[in-house]
Amino acid sequence: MKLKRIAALLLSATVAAGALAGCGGSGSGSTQSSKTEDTSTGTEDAGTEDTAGTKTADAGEESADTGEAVSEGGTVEFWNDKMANMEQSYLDAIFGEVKNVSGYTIDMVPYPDTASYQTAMQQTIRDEKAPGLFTWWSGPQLQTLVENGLVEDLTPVWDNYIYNEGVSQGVADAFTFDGKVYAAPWSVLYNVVFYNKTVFDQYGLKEPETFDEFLQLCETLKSNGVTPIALKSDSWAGFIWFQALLAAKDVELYKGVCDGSIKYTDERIVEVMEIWKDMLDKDYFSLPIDWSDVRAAFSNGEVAMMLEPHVEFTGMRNDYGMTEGEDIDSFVVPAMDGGKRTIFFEAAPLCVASNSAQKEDALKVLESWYKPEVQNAFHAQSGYTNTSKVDVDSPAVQKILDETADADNYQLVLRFYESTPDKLRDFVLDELMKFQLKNSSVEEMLSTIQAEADATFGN
Amino acid sequence: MTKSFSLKKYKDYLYIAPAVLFVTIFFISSIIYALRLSFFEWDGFSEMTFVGFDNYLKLFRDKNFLTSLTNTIIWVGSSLVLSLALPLLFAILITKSSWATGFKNIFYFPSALSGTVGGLLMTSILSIYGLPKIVGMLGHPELVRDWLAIPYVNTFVMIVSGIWQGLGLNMLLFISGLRSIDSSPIEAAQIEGAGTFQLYTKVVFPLMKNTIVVVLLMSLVNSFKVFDNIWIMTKGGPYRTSETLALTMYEESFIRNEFGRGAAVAIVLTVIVVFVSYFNIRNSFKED
Amino acid sequence: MGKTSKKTKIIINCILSILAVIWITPVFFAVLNMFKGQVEYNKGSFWALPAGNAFADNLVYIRDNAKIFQGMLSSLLYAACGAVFAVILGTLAAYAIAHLKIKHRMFWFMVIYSGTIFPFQIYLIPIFRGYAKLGLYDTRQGMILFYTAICIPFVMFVLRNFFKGISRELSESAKLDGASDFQILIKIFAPMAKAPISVVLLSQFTFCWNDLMFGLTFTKSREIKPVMASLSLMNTGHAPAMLMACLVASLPTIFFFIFLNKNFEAGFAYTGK
Repeated sequence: MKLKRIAALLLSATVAAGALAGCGGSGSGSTQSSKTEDTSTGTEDAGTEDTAGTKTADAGEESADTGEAVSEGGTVEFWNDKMANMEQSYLDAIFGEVKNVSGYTIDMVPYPDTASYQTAMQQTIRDEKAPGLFTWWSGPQLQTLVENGLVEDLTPVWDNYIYNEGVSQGVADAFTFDGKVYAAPWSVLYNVVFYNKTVFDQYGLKEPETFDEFLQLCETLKSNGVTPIALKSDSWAGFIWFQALLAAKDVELYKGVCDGSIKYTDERIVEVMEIWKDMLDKDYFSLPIDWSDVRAAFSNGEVAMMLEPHVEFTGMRNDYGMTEGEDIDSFVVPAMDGGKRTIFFEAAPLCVASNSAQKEDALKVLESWYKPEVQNAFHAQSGYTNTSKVDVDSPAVQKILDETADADNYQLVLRFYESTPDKLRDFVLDELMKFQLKNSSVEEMLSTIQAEADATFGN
Repeated sequence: MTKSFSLKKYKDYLYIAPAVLFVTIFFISSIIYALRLSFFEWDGFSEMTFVGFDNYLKLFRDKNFLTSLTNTIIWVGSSLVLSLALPLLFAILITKSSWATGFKNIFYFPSALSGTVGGLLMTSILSIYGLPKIVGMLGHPELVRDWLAIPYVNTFVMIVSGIWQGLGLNMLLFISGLRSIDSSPIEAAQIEGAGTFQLYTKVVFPLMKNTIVVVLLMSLVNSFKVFDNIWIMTKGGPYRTSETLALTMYEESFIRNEFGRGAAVAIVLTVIVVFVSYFNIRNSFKED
Repeated sequence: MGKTSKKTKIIINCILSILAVIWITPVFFAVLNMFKGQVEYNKGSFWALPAGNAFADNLVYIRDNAKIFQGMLSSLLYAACGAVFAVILGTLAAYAIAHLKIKHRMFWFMVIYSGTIFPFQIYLIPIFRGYAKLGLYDTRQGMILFYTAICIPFVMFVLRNFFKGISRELSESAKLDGASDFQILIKIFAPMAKAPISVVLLSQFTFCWNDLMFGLTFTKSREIKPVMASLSLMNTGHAPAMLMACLVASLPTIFFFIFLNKNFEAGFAYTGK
C-alpha cells in the first residue's frame, strides 16, 4: 500500500513536470504550424501498426482467392463520423473489398460524436499525421477546408475514375469551388416519400399522379384514423417538407429563396406556405416527434408516409423487418402544375487531407473506391447507391434510381441544407420547426425569416 | 531557527503542490485558452480574427442565448430543491425504515449506470410508446405525444426524469451524515418535547452542516453545467428551446463552428459559477 | 437516532417500498428487453413482454460486434488509477488546506476547486493540442493522467470539508507525542475518513468509468478506447443488444459499490461542531 502511494506520487510528479513543459506551448499558439515531435510519433505508430497488422492478416486471406496483386498496399487511415454505428461485419465486408481491389488496408477510426470529431480533425489536419481519407460536411464546412488549402483537388480523380462509373455532374457540383472538385461522394442520397404499402392497400390507395390526388390520399387516410405523414423532431429536419412543397409549386421559387433572389415574403411563397398550413391544420402531419417513434409508427401503420433518403429501405428492413416493394414503397411528391417532379438529393463528401503523409496512398485508394465491386459491397451493407453501375436487385430501389435518371419527368436538386448560407439556414430551420409545432403563423414565420435573410443577403 | 521555519513552511506547500500543478496544467490553462478565444472569431480552421468584445455583445442580444440562460436558471433552481431536499428526505426515511441497506441499494443503483445508459432508458420511457401511452390508456389521450418535443415543457420533463439517476450519490452522502451525528443533543431535544419538524430544523440539520454544504455546492455547480441528459434527450431542441449554457457552448463551438462565440458562452458560464460558489466557499472559510 | 413509533415505521416502509418499485421499474424493463430481438423491440412497445428469447443471440452479438470487453479492461485501468491517484493527491491537498499552516488557504482551495467549475467541453481543444505535442494522445498514460486531474478537485473538496470538522486538539496532541504532519495524516486522519474516502473513491471511479466525451476525443485506436467510447460505436438500431451491452458495462461500478458498501456506514464520525 505504502509502496503504491510512493510510486504513484513519483509517477505523477514526473508526468506533471513533463506536461507543464508542453502545455505552456499549447496555450500560447493559435495557428500552429505542422510541427511534429519525435516522442509522439513513437507511441502512435506502435498503436496503428498493431491494428494494421491484424487487419492485413484478415484481408490477406480474401485477396489470395481473387489472385490479384496486392503487394503495393499500405495502410490508409479513414476517419469519419458516418460509420460509427455500423456493424463490424458490414465494415469488414466493405473494407475487405477495398483491400481486394486497391491493395490498401483501410484503418477506420469512427467518431460517433461531433465534438470529438471536430476537435480531432481540427488539431491534426495541418499535420502529416492527418488521416489520408476522411468524411466531412458539404457546403460551407467543406468550403472552409478548401479555402485553407487543407483538402486535395480531386478533379483528376473525378475525370479518370469517378464520372465513368456513373456519378452525376450534380454531385460533383455540390463539391466544386472555383471550378475544382474537392471531394468524392461518400454517399449520394435521394429523398423520396416512403409509404406503408399495407396501409395503402387497406384503403385502396395508390401512388398519387397529381398533387390533388396526393391531398385526397391524405384526406382518406386521415378520415380512417391514420396519420398521413410523420414529421421528425431533429433540430435540422424542419426543411424537409418546406423544400418539397416549394419545389412542387415551382422549383425556381425554391432556388430563389436559397440564393436570396426571391424574398421569403414573396406572395408565391406565402401561397405555398398557406397550403402547408392548411395541411398542418387538417392534421395531415403528425407533430414533430422523435425519430425512433416515427419509424415505429410507420412500421405499425399508425403513420402512412415519411419523407426520407432512399437508403432508409435498408434501415427499415434491418430494424423493422419491412421488405421493400412488399411492405414499403416510395414515390416523389407530384408537382402542383403536373410538370416535372423534384427529387432532392444530398451528398456527403469524402476528402483527402493535403498535409497527410498518406496523401498519395489515399488518392490511389480513391481510384478504386468507385469500382463496381467496392460500391456493390457498400450497397449490400448500407443501401448506398453511389454510382449507376451498382447491382441493385430490389425493384423498389431500382425504381428510384430510374426516376433519378429520367430527366423528362424528374429533376435532381441539391437539398436546402447545403444550398443557402449556413447562418441563415440555421435560423430558418428553427423558424420552420416552430411553425410545424404550430407555434407561429405563416406571416410571423416568413417575416421573421425575411428579416434575417435581409441581413444575410444585404438587401 | 528562521531557516528551519521557512523549510517547514515550504514543506507544507508540498502537500498541495501536485494537486495545484495538475489543475493548473489541465484546467486553468484551458480556461485561459478559452478566455483568449472568446475575443476572436474562429471557425476552427481559418486564421483567427480579433473582434474584441463582439462575441459577448452579440450574445446578450441573441434571444437563443437568453432562453438558454433562463433554462439554466430553471435547472439550477429546481436542482436546489430536487437534489438537496429530495435526497435528504429519502435519506431520513431510509435511516428510519426497517430495510435500510436494501432501500439504499435500490435507490443508488441508477447512479451506478452511466448517464448515456440512463438517458437512453429515459428516452425509451418518454417516447410515445412508453409512459405517454400508459397515461393515454388511463384516460388522457391528449397527452399521448412526444413530451420531449414540446417546447419549454420538455425542460421540466427532463428535470423530473433526471431525479431517477441524480438522487443516489447525494442520498449516500446524507445517509452517512445522518448515521454519524452525535445522538445526545437529539435525545435532549426530544426530552424537552421538540416536534419532529423542529427536531430536524433546529438540531439535526445544523449538525449535518458540513455534509449539506458539500452536497449543495456540488449540486449547484453540476446543475449549472448540466449537459449529458439534455444532449441525449433533446439536443437542446426543438428550435433551441431546451438549451442550457453548456449546450449552447457546445452547439456554437462544435456544431456551428463559431468557436469564439462558444468560448464566450463558456466564460459567461464560468463567471456565474465562480461568483455563486465564491460566497459559499468564503462562508466555509470564515469559520477558520 | 431518536425513536420512531411502530406506526410511523410501517408508513415509512410502505412509502419507500412503492418508491423502490418505481425506481427499479426502468431497470426491470431494460432487463426484460434484453430478451427481445432487434425487430421485435423496434416494432413493439417498451412495456411489452418478450415473445421469444433472443438473450443468447444478443449476447453473441455484443461479444462479436461491440468488442466491449477490451474497452472494459482499458476502463478498469483508467478508472482505478485515475480515482486512486486523485484520492491520494486530493487527500494531501485537503489535509494541507484544512490543517497545515499555509497562507492564502482559500486562494489555493479556489485554484484546485476551479477544476470542477469550468464547463468540461472547453478542455477538449487545449488538452488535445497539448497531448498531441507531448505524445500523450491515444496513450494509456494520457488517459490516466487526465482522469487523475479531473478527479482531484472533487476529492479535495469533500475531504477538506471532512478534515475541517476534526478538532485541532487531536492533531496537536499527536504532535506533542512527536508525530510528523505526514504521520498524523496517515495514522489519524485517513483512518477516520474511511467513509468519505470510500464515497469519493466510488464516485470518481464511476465518473471515469462512465465518461464518454474525453475517452472519445483523446483516443483513436480500439486498444486504447475506454468502454463507453466502444459502446457509443454500437449500432443504435439494435436496442436490445445495446441495452445488454450497457448493463454489462455497468457491472463493475455496481460491484464496486457493493464492495465498498459497508464503509459508508462508518459515517462522518467526527463532523459537526
